[in-house]
Amino acid sequence: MDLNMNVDAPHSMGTTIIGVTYNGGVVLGADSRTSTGMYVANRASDKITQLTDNVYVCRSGSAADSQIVSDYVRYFLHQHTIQLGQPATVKVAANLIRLLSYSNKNMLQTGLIVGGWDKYEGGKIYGVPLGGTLVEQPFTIGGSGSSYLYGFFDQAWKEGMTKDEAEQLVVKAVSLAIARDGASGGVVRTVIINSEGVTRNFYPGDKLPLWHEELEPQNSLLDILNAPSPEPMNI
Amino acid sequence: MAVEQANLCTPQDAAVVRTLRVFRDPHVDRELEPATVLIIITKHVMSSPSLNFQTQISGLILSLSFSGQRNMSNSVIEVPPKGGFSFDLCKRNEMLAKKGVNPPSFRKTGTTIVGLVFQDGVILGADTRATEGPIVCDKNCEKIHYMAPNIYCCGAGTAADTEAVTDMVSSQLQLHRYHTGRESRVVTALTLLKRHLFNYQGHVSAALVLGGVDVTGPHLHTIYPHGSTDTLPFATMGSGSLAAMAVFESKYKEGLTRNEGIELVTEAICSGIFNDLGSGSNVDVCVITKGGKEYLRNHLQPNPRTYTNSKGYSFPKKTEVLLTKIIPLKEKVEIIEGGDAMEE
Repeated sequence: MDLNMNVDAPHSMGTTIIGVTYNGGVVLGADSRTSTGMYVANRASDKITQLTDNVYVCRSGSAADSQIVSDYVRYFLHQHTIQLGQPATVKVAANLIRLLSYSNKNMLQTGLIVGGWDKYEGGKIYGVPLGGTLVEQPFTIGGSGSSYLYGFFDQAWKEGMTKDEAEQLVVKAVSLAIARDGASGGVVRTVIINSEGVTRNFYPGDKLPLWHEELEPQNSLLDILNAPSPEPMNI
Repeated sequence: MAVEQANLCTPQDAAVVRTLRVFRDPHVDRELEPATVLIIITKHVMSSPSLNFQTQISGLILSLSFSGQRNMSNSVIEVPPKGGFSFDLCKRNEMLAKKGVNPPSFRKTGTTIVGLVFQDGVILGADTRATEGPIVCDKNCEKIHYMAPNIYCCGAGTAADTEAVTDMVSSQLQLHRYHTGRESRVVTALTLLKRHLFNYQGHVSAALVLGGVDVTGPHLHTIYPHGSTDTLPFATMGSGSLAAMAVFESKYKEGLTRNEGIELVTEAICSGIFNDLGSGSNVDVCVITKGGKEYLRNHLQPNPRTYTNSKGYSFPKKTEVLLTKIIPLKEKVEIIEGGDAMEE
């Protein structure tokens, strides 16, 4: 492993990001690993950033590009809110993201999921992948870990879920992706946005379910260290 | 000038070339300026209705080449400069590097830099080795840079870049303090640094650990050369970051006291010093709290010189005198009386 390469490699977020609508709002979920080449630069990063009180965005791709884009959009939305006199809608936020992503598509490498709640449309999820398309979807996934989740969502997502069902679905999905994708890992963060407000949740590694091939440790050294006395040999 | 070598496809092209030849005054030994050629050509193009002429003229223009007497060689069409930083030379450098022409090696700080948040504030630590390729060019450099009375920044990467960027943002923060009349905040420094680094798309090779205490509390951030930032309770950067992170991951906990924090930082930097080739020499520590800051330069010196002459070295304090001989120069010179006055 060439260590010099690591310091110069652009800071990217392998990532798994998910946005899901439910009956009354949206749930956004993400892992927390940021990698520089083969090194995990930040194992507890927060990829769900706030744009306004009621709109959040999940970031994936190049860390620098996505941070700058969300900073600019937060600034534009702030101005827009002042001029409009009321909270911005999710559609406006998503469109601003899309305008920046599309006009600078040659320079930027970032896939974003915009999700939020407003009083006109309720909970909405918009995907803005690489290239700058804008697609409104009932649920959407992004990042390198999303490849492993397309089939899972086709089977597991249904209309009109409750808030808890939706959040459990998101947590399960992110932990499945973490199990299979090397560039995703760490903890699972979720943000629930509805008419009442915003709730942020945090699921550390030990609270996540274990999947196939991630078995409980067997015959691990920890057992030997914790064992009171050596076991007699079986012949 | 190679106008003669241009492809004459149509009679109109020949007319342009004749005009150009006339303009090249044989009495004045000077090449035609590119701008002049352009004006002549565009005049012809604009006066001609046919489209064919235009396309052939563009062929004509492309085949013109100007010799390098002036500094405008190879730039035929003057494109007005677009806004923003021009990355053309960066592309040229990459192309040259692929061909084996390497840029001159510059001074990097191999480095281990760390920061952690403890109960009263922030502690920053750094090693003190600066390298130039495989050579250590400075055994005791300062990597913890001043940003504001309550904010310090450790820098890894190209030494010139870290120095310049931290100096620049430190001045901007000072002006901002005058403007607002308030103590600088760490997020201000963070935003100024990240905007600058993002604008240069990673070519300013500065990886920074920024730490400080302001009215909102203690903060610690890392900034990468491409402009992305992370906010963390403990952070390491530089070539020795993996060694230092290993120490932090095993021993860090929240609510450390000042002495525990300094000890942990020192241990992490030592781990980088001894296990990473790009880091070495001494440990610098900087403790920032709400009350003030303490810059412990060379807090630990685990690499003293092994063999020193106990008598010391005595060097003569002036230039060595090798020979004392006086040669009067008058003997070597012939003096002529009443010569011509000197001409300027």
